Amino acid sequence: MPKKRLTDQQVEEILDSLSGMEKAEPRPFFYTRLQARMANEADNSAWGRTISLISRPAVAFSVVVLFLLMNGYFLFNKFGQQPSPAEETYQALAVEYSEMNSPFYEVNQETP
Amino acid sequence: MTDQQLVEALKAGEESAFRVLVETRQGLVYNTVLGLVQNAEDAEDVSQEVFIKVFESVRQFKGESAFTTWLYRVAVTSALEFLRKKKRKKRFAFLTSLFGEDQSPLHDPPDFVHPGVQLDNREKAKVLFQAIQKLPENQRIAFTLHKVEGLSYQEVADVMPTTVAAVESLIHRARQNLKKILQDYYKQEI
Repeated sequence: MPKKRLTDQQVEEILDSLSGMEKAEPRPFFYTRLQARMANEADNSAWGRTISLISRPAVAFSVVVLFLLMNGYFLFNKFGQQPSPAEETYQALAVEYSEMNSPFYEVNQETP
Repeated sequence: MTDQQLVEALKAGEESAFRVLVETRQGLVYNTVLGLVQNAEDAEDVSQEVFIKVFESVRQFKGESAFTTWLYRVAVTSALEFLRKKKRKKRFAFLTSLFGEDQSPLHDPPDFVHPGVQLDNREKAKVLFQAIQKLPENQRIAFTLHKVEGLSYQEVADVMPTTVAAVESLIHRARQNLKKILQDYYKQEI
């Protein structure tokens, strides 16, 4: 079945369907809405910039990687860490205390 | 107030000048943008962006072209930027389902009719606007500025910017392409 084609006249009619058209106007109070938007954008500009910076995939990915690296660094440093001076003092006191409670002192005690 | 006085007042940051600019040129900007984006709500948003851009960058206007020509350029550029952004969103629509991040539908209603079209021509114009969307960008701009905004070839050439001969050629090729698109459209409809 042969396909129907538009006649040249029909095509021209469609192409000329915009002739005599009027110009469109925005809804009333366009300036008021524009002012409200500008005020809103001025208020949110600092926060908006911060949020858009943080939400960038490259920035978010870098922050996550940095966080993981810092975790790894602290975790591995924990194993190789020397005891702190405070811990050494506690250990020395503990040793001294246990020596004072040793049976050696009890053996050499004078009885009245 | 002449264009030069208006520009000087805008450069001085006078709010009253900005109000005059918006109230006298809102139709020009909105009609141009609407012809390209083919959606009333999007056209309103983009038109607002145009005036914000003008407000922020009027100091860069050197007066090498007429102020109205510069305004048309900002409007056309903003509309095209919006369409490109929308196209990118549509490419990722399979990830974000039918609705985008702002929960607005990404798919335009297919039946755009410019509100200024005469009642008798509405059905034909609906088909024509769908066909215009399929034109290459330069042809679409030239055809829309000439047919929808009613600019002369010289004015279109100033806005694009190119020569009058180039505009004539663009509009001639746009008409040829539209004829092909319309024939194909009606073949599919049968």
